[in-house]
Order: sequence, then structure tokens, then C-alpha cells
Amino acid sequence: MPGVYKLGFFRKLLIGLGKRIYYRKAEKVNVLGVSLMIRAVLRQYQEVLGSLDKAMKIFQSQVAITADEVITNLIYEPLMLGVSMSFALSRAIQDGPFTIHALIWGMIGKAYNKTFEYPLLELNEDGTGKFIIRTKGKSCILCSGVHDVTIEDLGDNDYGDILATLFGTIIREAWKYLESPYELLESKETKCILRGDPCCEITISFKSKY
Amino acid sequence: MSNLNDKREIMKLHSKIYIGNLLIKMYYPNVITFLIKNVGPDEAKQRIFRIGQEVGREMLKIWDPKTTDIKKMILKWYKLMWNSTKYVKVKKIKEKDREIYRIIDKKCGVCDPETTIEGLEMPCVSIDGYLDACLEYISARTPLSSYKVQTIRSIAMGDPYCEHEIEIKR
Repeated sequence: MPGVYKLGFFRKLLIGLGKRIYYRKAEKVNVLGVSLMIRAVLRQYQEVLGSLDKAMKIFQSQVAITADEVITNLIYEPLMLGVSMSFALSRAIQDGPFTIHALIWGMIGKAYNKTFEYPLLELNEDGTGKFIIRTKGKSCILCSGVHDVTIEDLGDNDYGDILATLFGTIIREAWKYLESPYELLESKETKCILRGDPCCEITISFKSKY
Repeated sequence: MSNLNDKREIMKLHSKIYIGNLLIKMYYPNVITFLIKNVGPDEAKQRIFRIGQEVGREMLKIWDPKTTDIKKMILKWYKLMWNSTKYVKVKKIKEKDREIYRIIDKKCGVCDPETTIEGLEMPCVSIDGYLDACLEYISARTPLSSYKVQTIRSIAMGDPYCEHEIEIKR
């Protein structure tokens, strides 16, 4: 069976080191530039399709495809020293927050501490549960560059579903690879500074297969 | 809606943070393909240019580099956007009636050599938009008579590097 049963102390130590080396070696781009770029792309999609609603739906479906490709690359292709991301994957649901933290840290580096809270896990006795990823106050890397979207523009859409789709796809594919006993139900933005909430929050809900 | 002053502070903070570029490089071809399919290659090119221009304008509002030297500005821009100028060279060519700047980028932030994008001649045209925003910024402080930005080589088209050209008429 792929992955490990549970992440041990030594493996966690290596993952902690690995995420730092990976971030240091990676080609990088400015966070503000990315959030502004997403907004600019959405604006173009909106002009072409006629509404922000349609634009966001198309955008999210494209994010899901890209995330799928990215996670497949990360799991199967060696990242460094012949080791792929599968080294950091465990079947124990309790390791979820650690792995999510390492994954985001690998993308954003030590700025993680300024922008995100440590991920939370809520596990119920019936096998359902959720991971909660929360930004530190208003410091959302996605919404901070947005100043021209009103609650009316958003309608039923959640701007942060772009990130939620990304995280959800990554977890779904990782669990598929691990043959995890859990399956992902939904990955949704549940709080957003664009709606007046004090922070942005993504909730990834899941249930046990058995 | 959150307080704009807070937001500006957060944007300033974010302008100093860098994330891995892997997702952007993998996502960028989707944007181009979508636009070509929906509006055709010519309009797609204009829209991609506008994406770069909008990002450039917004970032310059936050960043405010306070320089009017084109070469310095371009290198500063690359440093700010991709945290490195290691693979970028700017050549200045002075001619009688014009100045030309050639920006050679061996590791383009949007072109992936392994991904071929069909239907658009120069996919990294968004970089032209960034450069145009930089020139607009400079021109607002030290007026430039007329300028043109274009991409003449692109990694995504099989070239060994991306090359952007700025032509400024005297």
C-alpha cells in the first residue's frame, strides 16, 4: 500500500527540512502579483462570458484540472534527491493538518506564519470530519488584491473557492493515491473578508468510506 | 467590506512574499487556450496584454519604485515579480531617432518549455503588458514621446529564451 500508516517523528523532521529546501529551490513569483493576475484573468473571463458567476465557474474548473496535473507530478516525480511528495503522505487522518501545513509551507515559505493559521482537524465519532484552513485575519493571499468585487457581484459564488478547489483537488488525488479509507465530500470557502468576515476560511469536509 | 487602509497594508505585506511559480506556469496555457477559443487569437493577444498591464499598474501603485531609468526599472520589476534577475539581461541600443531596449529572459515566469501553446504566436505577451505599465509609470514622471512593446522570441514557441523589445521614439 502506498504512503505510510502514520508519520513518525523522524519522517516529520525530514518533511520539515524537505519543505524548506523545496521552497528555496523553487522558481518563485510575487504573491500580490498572483492575486492581481487572478483578478485580471477573471475580469477578462467575465467580459467574454458576460458574468462573474460564469467566469468563476470556468476558472475553478480549470484550477481543478491544473491542480490534478500538479499533484500527479508531485506524487510521482522526484522532487529532490530522488524523493517525491509521496514520502510526506500518510493514511492517518490525524496527520492531515501536518501534511496540509507542509504543502502550503512548501508553496509559500516562511510567510506561512504571517498569512495562515495552523490547519485544524475536526473528527467526529461517525467517521465524518473536516479540515479547516484559516487565514491570519485579513491577510488572505487571494482576496487582499481584490477591491472591485462587491457582495452583489459575488452572488452565490465564493471568491475563495478558487483556493478551496485547489486544496480539495490535491487532497482528493492524494487520498486516491493512498487508497485512503476517507473520501472527500466538499471543499468550500466558509468565510471571506470580501463578505465582511474577519478572516478567510476554507473547510474541507470528508467521511469514512466504511 | 474590509477597511481599505488595512487592505493596502496587507497588499504591501504581500508584495514582499513569494510563492512557487509551478501552478502559474501550469495554469497559464489554460487562460490562453480559453481566450483563443472564445475570442480568436488576435483579441486573445490583446486581452492577455491587458491582463499584464492591469497587474503592472496595480503593483506599481503599491510598489512606487520612484525611478525613471528604464533599464533599472525593468530589472527592479523582474526582481520584484520573480525575486530574481539572474536570468534576465537588458540591452540598450541607441540609434539616431530611437532607443531600443532588448529584454532577454532565459527563464520566463509564464512560459514552460515543456508546454506548447498553439494558436498564439507569442504566448508571453502578458510580460509586454507589465513592461507597458512600467513605461506608462515612467512617462507620467518623465514624458516619453511614443513607445512600443513587443515580444520577438518566446520559449513556449521553441526559442531558447524569451525576448521583449521596447522601442522609444525620440
